[in-house]
Amino acid sequence: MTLLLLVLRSFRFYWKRNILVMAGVALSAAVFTGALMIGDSMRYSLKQIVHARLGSTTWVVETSDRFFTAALADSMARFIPGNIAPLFVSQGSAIADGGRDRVNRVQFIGIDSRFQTIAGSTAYGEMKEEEVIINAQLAGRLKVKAGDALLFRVAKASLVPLNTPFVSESETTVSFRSTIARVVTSEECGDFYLQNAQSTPYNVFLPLEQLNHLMGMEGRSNRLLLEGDSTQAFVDSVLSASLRPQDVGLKLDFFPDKQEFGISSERIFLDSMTWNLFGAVEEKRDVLTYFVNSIRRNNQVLPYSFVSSWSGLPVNEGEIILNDWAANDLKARVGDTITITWFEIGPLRQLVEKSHSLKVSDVVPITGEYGDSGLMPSIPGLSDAGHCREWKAGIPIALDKIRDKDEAYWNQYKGTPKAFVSCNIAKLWWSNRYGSSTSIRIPAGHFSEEEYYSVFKSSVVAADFGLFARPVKSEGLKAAEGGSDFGQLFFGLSFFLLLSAVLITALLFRLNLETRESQIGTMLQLGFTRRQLSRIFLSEGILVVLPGIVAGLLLGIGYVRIIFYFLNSLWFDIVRTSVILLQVKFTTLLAGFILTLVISSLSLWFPLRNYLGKAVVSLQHKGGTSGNPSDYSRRWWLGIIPLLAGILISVYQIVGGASQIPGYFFLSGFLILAGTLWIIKILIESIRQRQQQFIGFNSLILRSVSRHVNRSMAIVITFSLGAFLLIAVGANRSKMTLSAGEKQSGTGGFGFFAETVVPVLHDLNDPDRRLSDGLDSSLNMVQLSRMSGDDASCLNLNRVTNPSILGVDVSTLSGRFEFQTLTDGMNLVNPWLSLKEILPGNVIPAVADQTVIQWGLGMKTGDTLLYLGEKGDTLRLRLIGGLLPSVFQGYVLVDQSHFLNYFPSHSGSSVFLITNSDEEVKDELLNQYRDYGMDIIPTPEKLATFQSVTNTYLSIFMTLGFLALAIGTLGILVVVARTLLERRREMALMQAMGYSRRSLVWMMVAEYSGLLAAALSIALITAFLALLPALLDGSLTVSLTFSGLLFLGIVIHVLLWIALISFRMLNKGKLIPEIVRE
Amino acid sequence: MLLHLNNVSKGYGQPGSHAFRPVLSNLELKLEQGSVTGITGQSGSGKTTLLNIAGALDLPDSGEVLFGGEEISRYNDLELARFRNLKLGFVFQQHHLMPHLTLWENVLLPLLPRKRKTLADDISWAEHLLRKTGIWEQRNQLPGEMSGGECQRAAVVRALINKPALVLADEPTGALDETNATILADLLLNLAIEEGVTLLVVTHATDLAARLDSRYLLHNGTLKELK
Repeated sequence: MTLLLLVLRSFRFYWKRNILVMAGVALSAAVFTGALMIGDSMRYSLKQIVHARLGSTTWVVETSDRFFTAALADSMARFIPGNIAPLFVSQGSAIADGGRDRVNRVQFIGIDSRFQTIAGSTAYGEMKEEEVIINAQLAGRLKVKAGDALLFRVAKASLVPLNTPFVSESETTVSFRSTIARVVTSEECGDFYLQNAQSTPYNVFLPLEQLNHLMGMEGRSNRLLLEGDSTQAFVDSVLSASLRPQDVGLKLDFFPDKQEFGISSERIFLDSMTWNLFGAVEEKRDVLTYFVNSIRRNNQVLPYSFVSSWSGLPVNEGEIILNDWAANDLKARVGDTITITWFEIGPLRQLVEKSHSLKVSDVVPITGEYGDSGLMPSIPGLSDAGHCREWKAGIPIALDKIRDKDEAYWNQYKGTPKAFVSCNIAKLWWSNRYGSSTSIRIPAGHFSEEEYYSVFKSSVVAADFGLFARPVKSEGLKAAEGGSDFGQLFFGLSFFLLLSAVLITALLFRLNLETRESQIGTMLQLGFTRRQLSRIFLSEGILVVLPGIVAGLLLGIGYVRIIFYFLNSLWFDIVRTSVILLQVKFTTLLAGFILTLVISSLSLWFPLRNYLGKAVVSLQHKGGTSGNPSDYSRRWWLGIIPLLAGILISVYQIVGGASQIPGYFFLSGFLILAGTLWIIKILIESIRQRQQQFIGFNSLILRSVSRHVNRSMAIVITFSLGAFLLIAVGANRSKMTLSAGEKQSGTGGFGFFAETVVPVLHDLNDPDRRLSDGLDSSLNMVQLSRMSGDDASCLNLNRVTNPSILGVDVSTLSGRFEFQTLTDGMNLVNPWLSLKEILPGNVIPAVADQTVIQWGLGMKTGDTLLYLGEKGDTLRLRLIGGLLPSVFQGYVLVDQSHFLNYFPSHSGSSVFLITNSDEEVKDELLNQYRDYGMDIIPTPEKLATFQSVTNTYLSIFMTLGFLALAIGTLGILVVVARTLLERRREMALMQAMGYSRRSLVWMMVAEYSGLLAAALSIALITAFLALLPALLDGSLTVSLTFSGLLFLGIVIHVLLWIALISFRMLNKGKLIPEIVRE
Repeated sequence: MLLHLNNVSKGYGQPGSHAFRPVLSNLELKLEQGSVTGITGQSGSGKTTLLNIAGALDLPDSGEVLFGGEEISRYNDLELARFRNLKLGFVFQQHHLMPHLTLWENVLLPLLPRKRKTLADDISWAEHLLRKTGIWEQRNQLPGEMSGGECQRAAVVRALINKPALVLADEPTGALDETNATILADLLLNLAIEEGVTLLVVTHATDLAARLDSRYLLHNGTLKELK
């Protein structure tokens, strides 16, 4: 006979009971390890998605709004090992079934054969003109296959920023029809995507040259994909060293008659970077030529002319030089006053007509520098027009004002400027965000073509021209690693399930101990020490725990599979990818094993310690010695103190006026719950002490409740905790649509949220524009510019660092939306206006949804986001405020002026907030802007999309919570069943004494109903007190129906079990023989 | 003198409160080595309390318990466990055998606290006792497979396995029928005499009481010797 044998004998003898404990342990291990595995698997899946969407790409060279030559790839390939593939990426729509089925936000990727190596697939081998390859996601969405034909509409790319003055907007999209050559899968890099997101894009691959051709370009691309490991500094240096002037749109012309070189840009205006690049070149002239609406002297009007200026022009401010053709036309002489009128072009092509009067200082012949048609910048649609009447200048041209002699001048002199003003005044009037010069002129004696290239090569920094290299693979992997921690999340979501499993394990183990109470007493009497006994029982417990954990680890894999099944179906809203792969790591299993072993051992150790702490006599004779009644009064305070502390925390939040903080909610909830539970425990114990002269049914029930205080408390704790969490979570399940119409709500009081793939370049609030577009005159909207970045909304699981930026005239948002957090110094009356300021250190203020700041970015208000501006300058955005959940989720908002300052080439708006909420307006807009790839949804629906994520999390929590409650109930049922068995003799005795079966059942039902009623009351009181701050400040919209249904569900659930107990009792029938047998 | 309960008092509830119930009042009891003593008394008179105090299972409110001249209330938990294991044997109205252990294992159970392994001497001693009590043949049976009398005899053997100086028996025949009660009483007394064990028996059974060396009546918290 050895201790081991004793343990083994006991283990075998009590195997039925041990299996129950084992099940509890297995459940704990499954839930715990499952949560860890979910975390591992999600991280692994996100990383796999990164590899799938990037192929072997490690770096990407990209531009915000420029197109470099595809030959840049060849230049860089000389220095960087590995393949370099040029891409032309654009956005658009795919249309099937004669226009009935349409997908917007389709990514068009122009590729050449080099993409094959990046993709690791031969699928992109021989692409023919008129054929495209699409990914399975798009094929599935449009229900098409290889061989089918589709209509595509792609955003028209332009070498000139589309909102540059005088650029025509006649073509914003290009459409073409192609046959699907092949449908590529994710494994074939079909889901190629450069942004950090797990959602699958809609992709169309077509030959690079074909896309160039469609855009009217040749040999251009806007992305370079690089392979291999390189450092940022190396890639940057290679990029800069490989750049040629044509890659940044610069061109050099030689004017033999002037013996001058002219440096100009395909983008019409030259920015300061170009000027600085050639800063050291001597004798250069800075030229600015502008297209004016009229040059007028009294009633004599000269329509539509170019006016030029350059540094060193011999004219003072307030003076103008006319060429002799213009002077003759206007009958103007030196000293006359001339008025010139021009359009100042705003961000959305808002035209403001300006005019200014100048005195004629000179009249010059159209020769030499005054007869230079090359001063006119190359403006597509204008400078290349054969006749004036063919002009497409991006501004309204009154053709009737164009005279025959104007045509004659155009025929003879083209765009040779007719007037000349001082350089300073020209820059003052016509400088814009795109630049302040149209060309640089350098005398041939001071410059050469070789010098042009050498100066460029020696001075250029790629970032200055908006070409950036970023380590897209490592960034993606980092974003995947730092993304939503599903392990932690599911640990939190399964917390109650885990708690329930641990409680049940402890309860069942304690119950086993209770039934072996006399054994413990006997063994103590036989001389076993408490230490020996604890070793024996703990060893026995560990024997139960170990197989339980092993079973739990296997169950955990099943649990994860079930969770993944639901994540791929019912709970898809929170992951938005079907690529979730199970990863089982040994370290995770080991961690799960060790932690469950510790938790389970503790759940065995505490009841054991409690039991072994009892006096030998009380163990030998169950119920033995009683406590000292005078202790109870002191112990009341142990319940009252946490209760008051919890209430104080709620009061503190109410008085403080701040929104409810989850940490405070849980702390006050925990304290109130712990306090009330303790008070209930004392109440039950005090019933046992109560002495009474008479007894009735009620007192019998109370006695029964108080007989096994711990068992009664196990029921109360399990149900009150479960009901509290479910009620609290149910109450937080908000329905945003309730207040959707209000300006302070998350919709901002707007009716629709619209997005376009192709930016709309003009102001839709302009009545003339509305009229020409056939839109309702009452239509009112806010237009926002979008600089695409990563999606920072809760729909993206990756941890992003550069969310998309929205530029908006913030004054249009005054009084709309509501701020949850504000930093010091903000305009409290109208926080939006604070966005117009510039903070010290040239920091730009920005706002975002508080949830985006906290969860999407992992930051807090006051923190600063870093971006690269279009000119390579660092844009520092300080998050000065956090909005309550709004339609802006996923974006960072800045004022339009700051936006355009840092992203001057950005044209038009892609996001629209529409005040009207009529379906007719929606139809009108959709009809008018279908080709822009417009998606329009009601703002409550947009908000609901984000809310669905929160609600899905709550659903998971509640599902797992209900599961936990069900498991808890099963555990409780075991306790009840065992208690019933123990009380069979007592029941028999009472029947023998004349109690009817009905009254006995009633007593049983009443006993457990009372405990459950106490549990539910505690849960309600706790939830009410803990949620009071949120209820009072209105940030919580309690869904009474939902909470009511939830409550009803719990009550029905509980009553069902009680009915089962009653049923069991009724059917046990012959109780009296029990006593006879005894 | 083996055991001396000197001026022992014990009560339940808070002293001074109306709920306080005194059980033993300045009780005096002396047991000589090898004596066989019985205690009788009405239900609730405190017989079991007296036995618990004598067996170091409970502590008196006042007075002292001397075993071999040593005050046992000063023992710590470990010393008390050792004391109970080596010096005392217990027999109760219910046998309290471990249901998952065979009779043989139950009997050897008290050897475990002090020894890791059962020695040959222990085996032969256990066999001797089991043969003497007539349950040798049942040694591989579980308690659930044995009669109440057999279980109670096993409990007696278990009490004697460590060759204790004092055996405390609380209504040892209380749960047995007349025949079995007689067998057990014979066994207990014979073993006590043969093995030289001091025996303190709390009993209602007149037959058993009549066969003891000395008898006391516990009444109003004190002992009165019966002639």
